[in-house]
Amino acid sequence: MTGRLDPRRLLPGSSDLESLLDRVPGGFGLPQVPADRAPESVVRTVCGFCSTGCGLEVHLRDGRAVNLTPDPAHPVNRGVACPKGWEALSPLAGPGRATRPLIRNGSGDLAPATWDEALDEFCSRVAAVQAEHGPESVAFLSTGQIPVEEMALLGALTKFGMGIRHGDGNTRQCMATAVVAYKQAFGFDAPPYTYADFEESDVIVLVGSNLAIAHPIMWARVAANPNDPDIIVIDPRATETAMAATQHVAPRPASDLSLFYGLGRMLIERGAVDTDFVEAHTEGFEAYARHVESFTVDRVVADTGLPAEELERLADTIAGGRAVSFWWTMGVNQSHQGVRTAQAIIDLALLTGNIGRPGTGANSITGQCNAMGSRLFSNTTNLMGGHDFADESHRRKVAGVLDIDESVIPTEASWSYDRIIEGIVRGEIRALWVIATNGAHSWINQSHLSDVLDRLDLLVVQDMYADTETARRADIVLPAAAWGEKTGTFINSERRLGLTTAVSPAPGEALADFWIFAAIAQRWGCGDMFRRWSHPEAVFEILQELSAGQPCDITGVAGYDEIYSGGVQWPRPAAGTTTETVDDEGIERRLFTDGRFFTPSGRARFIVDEPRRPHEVTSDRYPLVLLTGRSSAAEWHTRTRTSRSSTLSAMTSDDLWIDIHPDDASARGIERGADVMVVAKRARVRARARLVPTVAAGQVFLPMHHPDTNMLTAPGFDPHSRQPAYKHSAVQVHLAKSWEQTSPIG
Amino acid sequence: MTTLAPAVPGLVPTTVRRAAPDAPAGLTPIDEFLGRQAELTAVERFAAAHDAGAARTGDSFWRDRLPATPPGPGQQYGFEVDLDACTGCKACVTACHNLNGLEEGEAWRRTGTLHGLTDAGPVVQTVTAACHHCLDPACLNGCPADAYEKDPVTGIVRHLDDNCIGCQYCTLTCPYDVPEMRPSLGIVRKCDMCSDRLAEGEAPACVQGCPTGAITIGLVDVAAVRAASVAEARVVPGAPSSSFTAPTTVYRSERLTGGVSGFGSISNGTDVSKSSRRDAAPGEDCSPDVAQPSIGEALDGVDDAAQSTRPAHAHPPLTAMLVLTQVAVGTLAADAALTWLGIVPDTSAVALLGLLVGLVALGASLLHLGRPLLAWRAVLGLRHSWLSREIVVFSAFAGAAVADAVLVTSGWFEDIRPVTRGGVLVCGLAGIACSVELYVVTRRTWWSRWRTAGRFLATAMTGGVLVAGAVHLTGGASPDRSRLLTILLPVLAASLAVGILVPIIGLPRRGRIGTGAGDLAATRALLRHQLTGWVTARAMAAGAALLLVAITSVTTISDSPGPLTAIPVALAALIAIVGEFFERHMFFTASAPPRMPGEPS
Repeated sequence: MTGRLDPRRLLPGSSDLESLLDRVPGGFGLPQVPADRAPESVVRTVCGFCSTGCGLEVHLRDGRAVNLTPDPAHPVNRGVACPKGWEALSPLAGPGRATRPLIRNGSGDLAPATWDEALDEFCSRVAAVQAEHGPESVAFLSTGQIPVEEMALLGALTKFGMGIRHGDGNTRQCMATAVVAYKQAFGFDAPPYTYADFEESDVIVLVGSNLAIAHPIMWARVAANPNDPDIIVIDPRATETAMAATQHVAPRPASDLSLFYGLGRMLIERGAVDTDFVEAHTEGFEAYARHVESFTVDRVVADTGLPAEELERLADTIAGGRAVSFWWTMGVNQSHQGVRTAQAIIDLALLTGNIGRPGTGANSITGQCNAMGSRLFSNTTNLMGGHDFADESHRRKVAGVLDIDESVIPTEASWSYDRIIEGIVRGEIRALWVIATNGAHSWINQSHLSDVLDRLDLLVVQDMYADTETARRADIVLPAAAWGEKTGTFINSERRLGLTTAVSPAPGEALADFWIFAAIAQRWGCGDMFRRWSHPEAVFEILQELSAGQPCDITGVAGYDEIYSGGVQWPRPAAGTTTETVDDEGIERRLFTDGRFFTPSGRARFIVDEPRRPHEVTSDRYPLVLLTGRSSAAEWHTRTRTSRSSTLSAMTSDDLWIDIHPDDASARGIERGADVMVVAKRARVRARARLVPTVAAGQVFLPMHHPDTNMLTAPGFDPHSRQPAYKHSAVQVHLAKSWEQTSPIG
Repeated sequence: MTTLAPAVPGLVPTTVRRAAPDAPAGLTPIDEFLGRQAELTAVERFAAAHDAGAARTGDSFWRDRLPATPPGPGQQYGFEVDLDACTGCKACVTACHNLNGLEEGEAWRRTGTLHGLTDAGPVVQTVTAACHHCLDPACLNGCPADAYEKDPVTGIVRHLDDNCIGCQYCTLTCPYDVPEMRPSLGIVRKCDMCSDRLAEGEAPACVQGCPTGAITIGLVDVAAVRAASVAEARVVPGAPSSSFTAPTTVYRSERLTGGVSGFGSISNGTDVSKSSRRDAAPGEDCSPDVAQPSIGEALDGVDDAAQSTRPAHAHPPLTAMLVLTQVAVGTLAADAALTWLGIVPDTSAVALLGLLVGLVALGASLLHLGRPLLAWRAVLGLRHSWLSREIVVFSAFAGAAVADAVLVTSGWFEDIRPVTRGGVLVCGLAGIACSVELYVVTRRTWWSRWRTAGRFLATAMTGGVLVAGAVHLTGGASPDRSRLLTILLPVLAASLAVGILVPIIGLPRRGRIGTGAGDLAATRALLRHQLTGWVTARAMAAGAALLLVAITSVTTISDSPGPLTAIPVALAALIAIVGEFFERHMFFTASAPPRMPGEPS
């Protein structure tokens, strides 16, 4: 529809305005649709924002996407979507698209170039850096937003073709903790659940998860639970999800490990241990029981600030549950001891036998649309297919499937994101290739990263937009086609493979990341290595072969045709040999129904550790704990895409608002809407005060999508997963003087 | 198995592929990748499969979200919102946008967020709102072009886009800020409850789009809604009084009311649940200190901090139209008064100048219309719209002023001159009265009758005495300049004082959101913060005009003032009128309109 005034509309005779809003039957089983967008055909796809993996029906006219509606037949979302899903097409047409390669010229500007020039520049400069500083001096940072076929091609091209050693993804920021927790506890990175578990529980425990806002369609599944479940939300903040809870437990930030150990002790005291399950299918329970012995109610009360009665009620509810499911998200993952906290949740599920049955599980809800794909196939932390770089038999298997020389496969995993950044500081990494992520906005202690990027000899950014904070600093920008402009496979939080399809032409000369990697492979001279990788579906077949015999075996999937409608959850081995429960229609699959885990012993492990102090604690100078998180379902990933939809933008604020408790505000003379400075050791940030009792006294909250927020976050990492701990920084807040502005400190 | 692309060996080195006999000549590898990118193979491959698929049984999905029968006598459709089920995802907004094919950024449903404290603990609550399809729609009542209709069966308030002239008056009269101007179309648009869908048994877009079924369509009892729409009733805490328009949306929440559902307007479509009402007496304190409010104040204390902090739309053509019509009327009135007092002779110059200013003002008002060539429609609403009345009366004023100017210039029919002059004055003052009422009916306290009348009359008097005075001071027909200047100064001082003080007297520091006092407190905050520059400029203009006239009077008091005294007075007139433009800018921008709570501007 036009955004411009049509002069004919001024004429008295013009009377066609009402017809602009005509609605007509959509056909294809659709509801009524706008007449000017009535589809000629409909194609299904999977949403490319979060890990829920909703099915969308894209309406096409002249072979182009003109509208979409949520897919009523899709087992995940059943005809509903969140605002991002509804608006998934808008970012494609938004301003700022990268339509031609750009190369920074002698005068320091990014100037348009041909693809041939850009590929030559890329290959020659990468090769030059490698020649001078060694092949490992080039690294890449990728994403959980692109299909597995592209991730795999990137991982194979860089590590097997170009000799690059180190690469990681923005997935480090969202689910590395869950990966490590699962690997150690279950023997494989295997979230065990299916979304039907939301509906089959009678007790749902959500830890550090504002599910209603972060994963609205998963929340819809909770809302569809017919059992009138107890919903326990463990979160320092009174979130939208906490509003809908039957019990909101608000421990002091970063005190949850103590809480879960204390709960374990209380459950043991209550005789809530499923002794049969524990004896038959787990190991380490005695050590666990000894460990939690010291987490008495008094200690937990002191650590968490929770009243004893609340702990008792919580323990009673869990002990009394028929099917208790535990779910966690970033409140746990983005913590200084996230792995052990996640494992403490797993411990609770194991000791109560709440795993492998409908409505149970220790369940990590991941973030990005294809974070789960990256966990298996990105070839960064794991050798592709969920294998181990250090395992010689795994290397041999992969080399065999790919028909490559085993010696090109590194024998160790990549450095993690933070180690790559440190490598830049130390001069070990001289060139960085960034694909579809915006670290200059999202990385913890952002100003530091900003400074670090300047030290590189070469920064290449491959993105659908040329104007992200990161792309603006690049030496070379490679224009990428976006979700909706390419075809490939995503894996969602419940291990469901789904097909995301090309429904809209890419602008200008933008290419799918797949074709960019292919072009680089060819230009680099390693095209022969990828003879079989001729198109995404061919790569999918390679990935199926790689998965053979693994817990994530997908050899039984009948290609794109099978995952096009509704998708398939892994495992799906070829011969149908899976022992997993599949419901009558084959739609829902959960793991560990036979009590066998992927550890060598087949038993799940109880894992415990001593709680540690957070990496940054409050002080007289910085007395408030800064929490960060999602403030709206209408924002995604540094707003690179969502800001291009004016419908989504209208739901959020460009101003930075800090949530502060009225008591903390009045102690500082801060009134509603006042301009304040939020000061950490690292930066001072100007914001406006929103006085709300939904944050506790002593805590403040900032939305993570604002570009200034991560100037404040304290660089701490989980020691096991190297995931940044965004959820705990020490700050002070005071009324802003007119001259005070946002700036880094030091 | 079919493959997505033709079997082209994508990564085989160029030289090899070029050697193939069937390879297109001269195709570079990158051309080929660009070609692959251009193929929307999924569309070709899967669209057909979808066509063959089973039709969806979507209607069963929303059957329980619609009433089983159409409205019977004494009933109409109404939105029902279960606030306990709404978690604030805002999918309803995007569903409305996409399923109705609205313009980029346009949606007929909006959300706001409330924060507060109940006995059960802190509360954050999203409130989703579309048109309330009121029993007494202020949009319809205010519309000068009859571009609204209320369906007698469904009760849906529809906007008739083709009848709309784009005057935007409904955007001021609706207390819920529902109609929205679409500048690219030149008209206003709003929610029609997806009447086409309802007619076919399909749920409205927002109802379909809600992941948790929090929005449904119900049947409301018209008599019950009317009875419940008392002054204290509100659809949700912080919303405008339901007595204004009798809105039909029912909001329910057990969470926020401790087990009593409904907020006072209506509950379950029939009874009034006064016990749960968040009544909000005007003037009650609405401090942001929500330390320990009782459950009765649950959500009133704090609303989304974004609310009421941004200046409203300025409407420059309306600013010009208001100031200039008032200056024109004031000029002609001042001229008549001065003539009648015998201070000045009857000349044609003032009549012509007043007419000119009046015509410029009416021209400016046309610029305000989204579809100015449909301006004739603006008289259709004469029976109910103050805007229609204003237009008719000012048109009569213009006609009378033309006639009067012709008579005074030509000298024809001198004996009927008092009639034309009287007609000009009556029509002019009646026009200003219509202007006043036009804003008063919006119920914005910043636009209350005495504040608005004070402003408009002050503008008329300020501009009128200065313009008429300046013209007469130039006059060759021996006006009594000393007397003129002596009268000018106190009249000007008085009118400026009225114009500056009347609007701002009694602006409270605080007031409960959703009440007149709350709106005024927001206005005060705007004037003291975002609009301080305008406040200062307006005061300086008034001061400068007064100073110029005072200096002119004082310095010429001993001599017989000459025609050159017209220069500083004319300058004062210009400056004072500019000051009135500043005042009128604040009239619009400092207005904190009533609306649904927590809504970002």
